[in-house]
Amino acid sequence: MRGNGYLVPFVAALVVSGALFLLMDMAVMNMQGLSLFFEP
Amino acid sequence: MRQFLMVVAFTLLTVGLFAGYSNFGIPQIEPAQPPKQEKIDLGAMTMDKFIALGEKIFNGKGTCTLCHNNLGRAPMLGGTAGLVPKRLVDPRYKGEATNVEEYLIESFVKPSAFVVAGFGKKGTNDTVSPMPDVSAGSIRLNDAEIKAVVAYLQDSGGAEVTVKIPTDAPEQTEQTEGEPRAPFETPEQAIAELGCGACHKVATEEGEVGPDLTKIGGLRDKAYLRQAILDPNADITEGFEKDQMPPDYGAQMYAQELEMMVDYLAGLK
Amino acid sequence: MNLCRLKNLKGISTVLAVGILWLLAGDAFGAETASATGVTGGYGPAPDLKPSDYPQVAGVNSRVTIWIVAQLHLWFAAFVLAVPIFVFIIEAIGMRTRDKRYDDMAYEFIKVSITAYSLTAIMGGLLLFCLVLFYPDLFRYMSVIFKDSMFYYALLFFAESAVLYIYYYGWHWLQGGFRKWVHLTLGLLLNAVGTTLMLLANAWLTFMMSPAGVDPAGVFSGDAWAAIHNFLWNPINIHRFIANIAYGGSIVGAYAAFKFLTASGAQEKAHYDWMGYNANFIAICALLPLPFAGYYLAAEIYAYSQQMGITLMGGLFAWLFIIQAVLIGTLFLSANYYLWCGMGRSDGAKRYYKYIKYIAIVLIGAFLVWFTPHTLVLTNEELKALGGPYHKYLGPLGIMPAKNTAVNLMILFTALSFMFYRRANKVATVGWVKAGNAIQVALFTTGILNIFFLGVYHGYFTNTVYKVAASIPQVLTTLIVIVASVVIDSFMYRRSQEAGPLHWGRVPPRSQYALFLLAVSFTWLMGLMGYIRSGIRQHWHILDIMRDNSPDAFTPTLGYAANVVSLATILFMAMVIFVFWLSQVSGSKTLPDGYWKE
Repeated sequence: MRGNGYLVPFVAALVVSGALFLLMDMAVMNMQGLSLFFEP
Repeated sequence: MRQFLMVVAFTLLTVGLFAGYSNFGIPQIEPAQPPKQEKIDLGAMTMDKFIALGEKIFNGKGTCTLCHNNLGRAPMLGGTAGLVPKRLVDPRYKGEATNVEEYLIESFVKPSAFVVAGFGKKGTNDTVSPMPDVSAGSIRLNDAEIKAVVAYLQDSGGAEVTVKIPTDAPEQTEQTEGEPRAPFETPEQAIAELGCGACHKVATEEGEVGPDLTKIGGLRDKAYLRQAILDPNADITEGFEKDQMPPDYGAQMYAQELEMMVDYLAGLK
Repeated sequence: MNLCRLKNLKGISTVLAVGILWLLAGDAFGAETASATGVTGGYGPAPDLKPSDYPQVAGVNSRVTIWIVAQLHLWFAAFVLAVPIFVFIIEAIGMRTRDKRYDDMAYEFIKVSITAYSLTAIMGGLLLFCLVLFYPDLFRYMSVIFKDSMFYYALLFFAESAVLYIYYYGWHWLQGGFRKWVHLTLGLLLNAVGTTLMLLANAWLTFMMSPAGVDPAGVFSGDAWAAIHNFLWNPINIHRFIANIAYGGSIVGAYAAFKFLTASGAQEKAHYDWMGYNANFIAICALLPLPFAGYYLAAEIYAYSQQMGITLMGGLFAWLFIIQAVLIGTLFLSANYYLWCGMGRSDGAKRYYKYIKYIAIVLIGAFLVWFTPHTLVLTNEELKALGGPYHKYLGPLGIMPAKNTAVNLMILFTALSFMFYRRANKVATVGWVKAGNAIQVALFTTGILNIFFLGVYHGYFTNTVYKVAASIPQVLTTLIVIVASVVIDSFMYRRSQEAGPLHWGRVPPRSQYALFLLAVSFTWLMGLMGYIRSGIRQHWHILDIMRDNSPDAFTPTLGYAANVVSLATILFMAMVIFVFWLSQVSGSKTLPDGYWKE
């Protein structure tokens, strides 16, 4: 089951969705006038 | 029938568990009783009670002790009543009072009529008082309340109590909570009404008990300013004292007013 | 059934008679104050009441009485307003798929609600009666402002009854072709009237929380729309609309469970198992967006009055949200448990059994985090010493990042349970199954990591503003993961094969108790949240306008409130089980041998 047919899409999806989530976090925080990482 | 009874038992058990957890799983806090809506029955009031009322207002609703305390922000008032005759003939006196009672009332509503040396607004050479008019703004004492404070000051100052308990003002109520009010339209109005200028230099006000706010937007961000209003002791600017700013401005303002003030202050650069 | 109809009419006529009487009285009051005060427009200020203005009936606690009656009315009303919403949808599904089972189920749902409808009307009449009896001045003041909407409310009640009766009694008459369309249109009309009724009643109660159209002394401007369209009207409308559907689903679920448990034949069991499954599905679908509607409502309460917002989230009521967490956790756990039990209907479900224990572990873990008051280590004494309304740990918005993280994980894993359930009996045939599964696993992985990142980093290493702000991308992550994986699933299982026939009715009886647990918890939770919604006004009938000077103006403790809610829940469940029993009795016949002359 865990051949290349599984691993390649898994890693690809992991990278893509991870990046997209991070982008969304940044966008939503920016919309609220804040940055993703805390600026006191 | 057996299924029916099982369902009933199960329902009772579930409800019992929820009720049990709510009663014994969490602490039972007795909420405060509703604030008393005191009717000041002036007709039946003795002078002693009237003086006691004045003391209560002095320490509570009047917010007098915020500044008139031993931190040197404003003169102590313990012996003021005895000092009045001298002040009335002082060349710096600009008021129209002719006796102790009139002087004290005048000092509440026109604080600049006489400014005790060293307590005036900075740069005015003791001609302008930083004190707000207590019959307006967020303090808003009514005539009967002002007279009660005068009675208290005369009594505690060792002077003869000359104030007459007013009878012409029927059913004055002492509100222990804010009356509903229309929201402030502009930051300047909020500053004037809430009396920020008594302590801060902001807008047209020149207070100096608290930090100068005229360029605060360049120094602090919105989050800090919001917190500084909601929880003034969270961070104290160097050179200023803790516990000076009333912690309840957050509760006095509507949420949109708070945001309006934060935006306004953040824009002062 | 005839008996039910009679009761209906009696209940409704009581409501109308009392209502109209008081509308007249309200008008007389308006005229009276106008002449007394000389105010133009005829409206006086809100009365300043004395304790003696509240009629006392010996041995009766006015507040508890009205509390329980109002709550019972609300539960029944929520149920009978919600059922037509999903009956309409199920009927439409039946029309589209031409699967008669849907039509039969829709009919059975509406049949349950018919008996409850009469109880709604009776409770409404009783509530009105109690208001007039125990709080005459408040009611008079309200009826001056809302006289028009109250009058139209009464008229709409007639319309609602008429449409409901035609819809229900004409079900089998209006079948096939054009007639079915007429019937479906009646369903739509029924919903339109029912929703309008709810909106009007909501206006009256939100006016008490966020009065509009009156000046600070309570003098009405004469603008009825302003009073209706007050600040909290729409937030409550949205919240109640969604919650009613979830609630209605849970009650018909309990009905199906009851019928399942008492069913004798396998076919009957299969039917009620299927009905219970659908009811539970409706309840869960509506339950998932509910926290967001609640969040919106709380934010709007805070925006309207910071004082009320602080009362809501700080101090005393902070503990209420701990109880709420226990209740919502119970809802999630029982819904999941029901799904897992339901997998027994499929022969293909074995493939997924091994994952269930992990979902259970996550759910229970999240549940524990949620209800352990670890950010509230205050004892009773400490809390008293803390004084002020501000809650040190909850902050003005009561944001608890650990709990937010937990609730997002709970929603996510419930969705996962549901996906397993859907897949249980299917075998995908598309070529990219491996890749599809891999993408879904990756999506869940990054989603969970993101939820943790936002919760832990912003929750523990930043300030309150950031904590509040970070809860939004957290929620969005949950929604995106659910929507994306459901979309992938729906493509992946196109033209899928069935693993075998579904064995409806092949579920253990304890799964039916999960449905009961859902209904009871929902009922109790609604009662609890009703207490806080009303309680945050504190000692005001109408916030800042009309003060409650009755002996019962004080805010009760949580334990006291929980006891009242429990009592009301027991009363309600007793009536509901009675209704279920009636439906059973109405279907059974006794043959009295030799009783009637031949």
